[in-house]
Amino acid sequence: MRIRRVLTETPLARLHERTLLQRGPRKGVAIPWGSFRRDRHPRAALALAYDAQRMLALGEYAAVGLFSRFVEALARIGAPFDIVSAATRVPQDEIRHADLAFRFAAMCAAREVAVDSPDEKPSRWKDRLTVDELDSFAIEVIAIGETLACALLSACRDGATDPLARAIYTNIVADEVHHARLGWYYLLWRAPQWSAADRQRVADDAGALVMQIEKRFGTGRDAPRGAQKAARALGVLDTQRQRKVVHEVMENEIVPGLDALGLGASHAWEKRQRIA
Amino acid sequence: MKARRTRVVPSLVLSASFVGVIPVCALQACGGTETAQDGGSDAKVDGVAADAFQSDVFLGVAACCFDAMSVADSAFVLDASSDAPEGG
Repeated sequence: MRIRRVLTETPLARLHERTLLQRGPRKGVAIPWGSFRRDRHPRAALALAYDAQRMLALGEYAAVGLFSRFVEALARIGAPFDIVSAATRVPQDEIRHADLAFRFAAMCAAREVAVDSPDEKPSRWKDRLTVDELDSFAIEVIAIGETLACALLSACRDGATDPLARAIYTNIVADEVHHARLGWYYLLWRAPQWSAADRQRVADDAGALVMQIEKRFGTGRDAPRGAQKAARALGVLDTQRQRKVVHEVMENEIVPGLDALGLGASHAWEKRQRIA
Repeated sequence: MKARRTRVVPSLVLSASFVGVIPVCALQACGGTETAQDGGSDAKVDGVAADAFQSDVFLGVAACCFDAMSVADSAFVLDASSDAPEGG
């Protein structure tokens, strides 16, 4: 199944446009859709920006379902109301982000954009989550995944000088920070409840992921000579900057955070798979 | 344009100090034993393998947009005239 940006012809569509796309629910900047001029950007930069936005759209769209399962499981196990409440906001943020990315991808490509349904991809998180799986989900998808996403998308924003690209990344990052913190606060609530075996299980999940991260995120989108500055202006992250961002966020945030929760991530980080 | 870097992990988390364990994969990477202790925990490892973390794990936005497997496609996008945007 292919996913396209489709709206109804009902008042819901106008509400969606007005409340979700102009300015996010949080303190966001308005999106200057009319400012984008395709003909000012070289083809290679547009191609990379298109690819980045298409993949971002897919990731954000997939996150709608992922976080919905997280919310359902939190409510089922009687998690604290503030955690459930914060989690319910995430799927709405994610569909808004997907919409922003679909739109920008379409503007870069000058044509409609479609992505494969996330359901086509293999995933550990397709079924109802148990309490144990909730912990793993919070570690992998939220605390580590969203913190990485925050750092990487922030770097995209920092390099973006095109007003539309910058506004889109600014809006998305403003929400992703809250999503990542939800994961960390969930873990802070859960950590005192873990038995030694629980803690070991969670540490093993986190450690296995931590060991892969440098290698797994070691390749950015590199523009050919002559298009590098333009690609960066559209928010494209090259290999050199991506590696630096990943290293910094791991060393300064993710590994210390996991260590503080007793998950021994610094041991895994020391033994990580390194880029050759 | 350089924006101020936002600290994502809450200070409340960073100031926590739970008794730690050592992930099995880290022990295995240095040829360690099956007992994982760090700071007094008596946790026993029950043989969870380092590769228990399967390749199908989907990390959401970060993996989808920035994972090497996703990014590899972009080189293809640059080469594939049928898929790359027109003009500019």
